[in-house]
Amino acid sequence: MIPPVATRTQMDSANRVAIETGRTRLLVGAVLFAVAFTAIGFRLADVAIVKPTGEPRLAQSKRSPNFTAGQADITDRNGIVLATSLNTASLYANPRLVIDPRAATNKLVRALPDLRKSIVKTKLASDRGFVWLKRHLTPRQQYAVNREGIPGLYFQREERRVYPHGRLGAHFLGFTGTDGIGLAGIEKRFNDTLHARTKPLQLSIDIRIQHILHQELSAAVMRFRAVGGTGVVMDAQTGEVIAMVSLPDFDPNTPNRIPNKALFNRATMGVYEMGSTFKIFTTAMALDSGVVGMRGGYDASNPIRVARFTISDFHSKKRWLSVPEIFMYSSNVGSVKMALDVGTKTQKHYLARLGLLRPASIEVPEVGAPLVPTPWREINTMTISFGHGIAVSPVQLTQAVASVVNGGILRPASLLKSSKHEPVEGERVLKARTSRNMRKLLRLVVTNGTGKKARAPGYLVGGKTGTAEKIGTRGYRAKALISSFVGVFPMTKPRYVVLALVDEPHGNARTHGYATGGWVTAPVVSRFISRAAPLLGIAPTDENSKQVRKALNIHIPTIAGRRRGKDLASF
Amino acid sequence: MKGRTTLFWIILAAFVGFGLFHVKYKVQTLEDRLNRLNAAIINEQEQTHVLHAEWAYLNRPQRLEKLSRRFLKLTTPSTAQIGTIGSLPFRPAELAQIPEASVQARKVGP
Repeated sequence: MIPPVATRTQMDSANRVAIETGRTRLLVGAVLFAVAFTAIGFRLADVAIVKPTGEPRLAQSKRSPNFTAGQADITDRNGIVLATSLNTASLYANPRLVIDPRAATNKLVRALPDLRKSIVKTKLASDRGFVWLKRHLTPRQQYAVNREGIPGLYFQREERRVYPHGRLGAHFLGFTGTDGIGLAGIEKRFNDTLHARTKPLQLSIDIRIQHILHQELSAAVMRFRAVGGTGVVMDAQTGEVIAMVSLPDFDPNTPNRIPNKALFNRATMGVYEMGSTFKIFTTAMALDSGVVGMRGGYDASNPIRVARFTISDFHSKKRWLSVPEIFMYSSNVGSVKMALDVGTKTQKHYLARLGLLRPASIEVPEVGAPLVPTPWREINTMTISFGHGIAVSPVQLTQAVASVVNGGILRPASLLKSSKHEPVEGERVLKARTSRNMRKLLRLVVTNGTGKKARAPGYLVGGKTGTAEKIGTRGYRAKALISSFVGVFPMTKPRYVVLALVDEPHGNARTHGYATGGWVTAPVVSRFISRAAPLLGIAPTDENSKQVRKALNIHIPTIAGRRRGKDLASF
Repeated sequence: MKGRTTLFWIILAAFVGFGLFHVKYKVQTLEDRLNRLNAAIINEQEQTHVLHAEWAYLNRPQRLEKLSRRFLKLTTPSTAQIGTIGSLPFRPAELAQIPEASVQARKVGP
């Protein structure tokens, strides 16, 4: 007999074990759930109360888009577009999808007459998947192609850099390749900036002034059958370049058809022996360092012989000349003697400070380094005094002249518009007194000296002529000249400096065969100023008024050692 | 009682569901419209961009000069033509009789 209790006990213990297991499992499960729910609870509190993320309370609409076309525009100082990117359509074909190459060719050539039939046909008959047919179609051409309805032809949207003003400003703007990369000028220098932003890049150039300078200079280059020319207009107070022309020039809209000769930027890249315009610096440094005063002078009756050279005067007066006379008659002999008094070291020092010994810091990649003599001997000091034996770029010369007339502060030439609120930092290179005297001397050249043809009534033009012989393979070539004129106006408070330079002009009957700065470029500056001054906001003044006489009055001693001289009011 | 509560919740759910879909479709239509408008804006901007370029092209100084010579017969002003307010003479005495208003009216004319 089996005792029932024992069985029950056995069963009981078995049940109990099972129940215990079940309880343990339940507990584990309960703990797990409890932990999970607590975690969820915490997260809920975190999300709902602590940091409300998730749906924003205010719906954000998509930002309204802005049209961008490749590079940013380039504008002139008045906001007129000089360079812009336009979307164009380029035509390509998938020859495998062209059903009848012959018929397609005939239709296409009808729509685009400038395509060559034979080339198009070989392209369309080829076994490739992609061929370009024509890049950058005008909307009208695109319409014509669409109208023909040729299967297998497609358009690709592309960008193209467009220069609405064409040749005007070609040299400083530069141009871009087919892929939109800047290859010269501002386009090259600011390639990354222009690609990165949408705001236009504003230059200091005034396109109207640029046009006037371009026109007057081209006329002179044509009239004197010259090989080229260049002109720079600079704001004397800020160093901003208002206009910059180099001839011959090119159309940046057709970058693959630019002759190498035209590509050369004479204003920044070209370095020239400037000739007599350098006497501005010789005289300024002599006055500034105090080796001679406005009443002093030198004996210029005889030419100077140094080594195998003879330095003589073009318009020799064969007598003692005062400083103003040396300047206004452009006496080489007087300038050489002045420079010898200044000394080689001081001359070098002044020229360096005037920025004539280092490349200009203007914002184009095409900047020419000046040619400076090494070693710098006394003979170099003598030739440099009248602008030979040193070659500088027109931009360097212009900015140095600006510093001579604006009160003595050199501001680097810049192609970017400077803001009115931040005056451009400058470096004092000459005393204000020297600058005042130089203004009188420059005015004297136009009223009584070699630059009479630069006169523009009412605008108080001052300036200096320069004529230099070009270096050939065997020394200087007397028939190949660089004729220049650097003008400043108005002389009472100089606002603008104008440089005009013509390369290898040939004299004609109207100039009695002369091709010097006074005959070739001084009239260019005169006409330029008469036309441009009203646009530049310069009101004409009465040249005989008391204030003008007082500001520009100059005493010219004519005979050495004597007090007697004539007072010459320069008007 | 229980049935009523259930019915209430079912109806509420139906309304909320309807509302949700309504809002969703409305948002979709608005977004489509926004995209269309944005595309149109870009298109307009491109057009104005092209017109700006054309404006610059048509305003080339060379062209304006040619047109001016052809149609306006204007020449470069001489310095005598440019004056200042200060250099103007005072009004002659006989003109001073005319009341200010009539002078004003005359100035307004084309």
